[in-house]
Amino acid sequence: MLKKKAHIGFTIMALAAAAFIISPASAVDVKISGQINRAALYADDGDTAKWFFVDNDNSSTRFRFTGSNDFENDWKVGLVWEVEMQSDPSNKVNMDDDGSDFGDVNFDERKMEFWVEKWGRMWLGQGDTASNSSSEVDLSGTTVASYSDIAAVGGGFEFQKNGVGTGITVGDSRSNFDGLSRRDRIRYDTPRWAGFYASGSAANKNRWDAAARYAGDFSWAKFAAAAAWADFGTSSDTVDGQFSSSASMLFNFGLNLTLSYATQDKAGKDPWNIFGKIGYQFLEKHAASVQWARTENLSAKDDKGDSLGLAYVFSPWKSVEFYGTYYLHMLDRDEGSDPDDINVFMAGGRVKF
Amino acid sequence: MLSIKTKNWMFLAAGVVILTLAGCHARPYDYEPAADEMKKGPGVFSGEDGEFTIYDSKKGDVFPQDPNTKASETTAKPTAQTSATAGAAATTAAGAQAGAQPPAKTPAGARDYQEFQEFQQWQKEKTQFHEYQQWQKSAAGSTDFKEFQEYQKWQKTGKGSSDYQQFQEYQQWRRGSRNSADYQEFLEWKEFKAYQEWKKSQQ
Repeated sequence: MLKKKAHIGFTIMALAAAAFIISPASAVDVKISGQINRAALYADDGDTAKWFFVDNDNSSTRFRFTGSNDFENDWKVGLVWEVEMQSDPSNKVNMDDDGSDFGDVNFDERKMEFWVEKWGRMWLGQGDTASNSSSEVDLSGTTVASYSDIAAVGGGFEFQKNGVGTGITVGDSRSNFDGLSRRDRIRYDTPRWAGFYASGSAANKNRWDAAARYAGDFSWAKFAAAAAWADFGTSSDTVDGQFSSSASMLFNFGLNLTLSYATQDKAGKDPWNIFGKIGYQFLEKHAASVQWARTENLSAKDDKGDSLGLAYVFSPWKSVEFYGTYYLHMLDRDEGSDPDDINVFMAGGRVKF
Repeated sequence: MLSIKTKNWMFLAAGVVILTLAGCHARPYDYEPAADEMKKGPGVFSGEDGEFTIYDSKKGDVFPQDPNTKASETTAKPTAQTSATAGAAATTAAGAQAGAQPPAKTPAGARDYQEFQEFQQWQKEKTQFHEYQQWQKSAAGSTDFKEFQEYQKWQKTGKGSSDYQQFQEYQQWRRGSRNSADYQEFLEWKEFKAYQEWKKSQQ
């Protein structure tokens, strides 16, 4: 009995303390924003060549609601609800798609989460896991056209050999192994210290990950880097864990360098990926880059998926970008002759509204 | 004997490079590492903020009218319309004092304008400030500096007052809009001004 009373007393005290700490809001805001990112894509797999009108999966068409609420004693609470709506995504179109769209266009949830900030920030809901984007640090200014996620443009095209499909698509043979993506999870980010911070998250199926990030401005250049470890828990029978990392440097005169390395602990294969990019930003509104990536052991042991990419982005106004990108996707198989290369060209625009 | 795989050497080398760079007096900045995230910055219809404000307790109404319209209705002057644009105005318009006009007659506008004036004053007193920075380096650990720090700590005990609340709101606004190196220096200058005031009060 005494124990029960003690529990009740403790609960009342805790609620009183919470009411004292979390006092009325001093500032509230709710906002909506979005973007449309559409492009024309031309692909030639050596057997067939076609035009497609796509949603650029590098940064898809979407909108979002955000809100935040400041409280006394530096408490802050906020929410993010972000959905994407893609018709003919650039990572999924293929030669069997005659342009009649992929059935109904759906809203896909990207983020549905709230966060609490005081000593660092804690998120709960669907959103970025700690390791997400750890392979994608990129200061080139051309990410809307191309970055380390090679399969985002033309990932659905199948390699052909003598006019016959190999059963291996661009997306099957290359990946930047970018963490655990967005999941239903709980995540915590530490406060930033001298440009560094660390994050950790736990998701369904016993998945967990941890990451460290850094961003610094040296006055002559900006530098950002990230590294993460992800454990796949019971979500995969073959993949145990994954390391992913990337770094990017942007010099004040416009030159920029980006590198990414990731590897997966996968039964019998241990695939890995390396990515490099050299770019240049000029005349305030222009950015161009050349990139190369190799993924080994993903589609099969000793398969090598090489991709060469060129990108150019023109931003005539802050809210509008026009871009063009070209990819040469190659697949080097361990057995027999190699399939034909796939050429992909995409040009389009991203408009924020 | 300890053997490290080539792959691990790469990680180790990368870590050393990052730590070395971090030690090169870099200023932290807000980089959000997400290449596939939504475009940052202004929007075609939403303007400089890049977001439609559905509700903002500071503005006080749902779907607020265009600030320009409001300003003309209330005959307030159109400078420093929003906290976001005020930052850019302060940075770019330094030295254009002659053209500076009084702010909109709102608390946010007045605060922005006051800060703009302070920014201009800072431009004038830059040299003196740099001398203060030198003093700060040389005097670190001295009794004089410790006393100043205690004074600052004492100031912060004023939490809960309306002044402090206003200061928090200002800080919030600052975090959202001001990240430039120039602005960081401006903040340090403000600390310097606090020091000057304290010094005066000691005399």
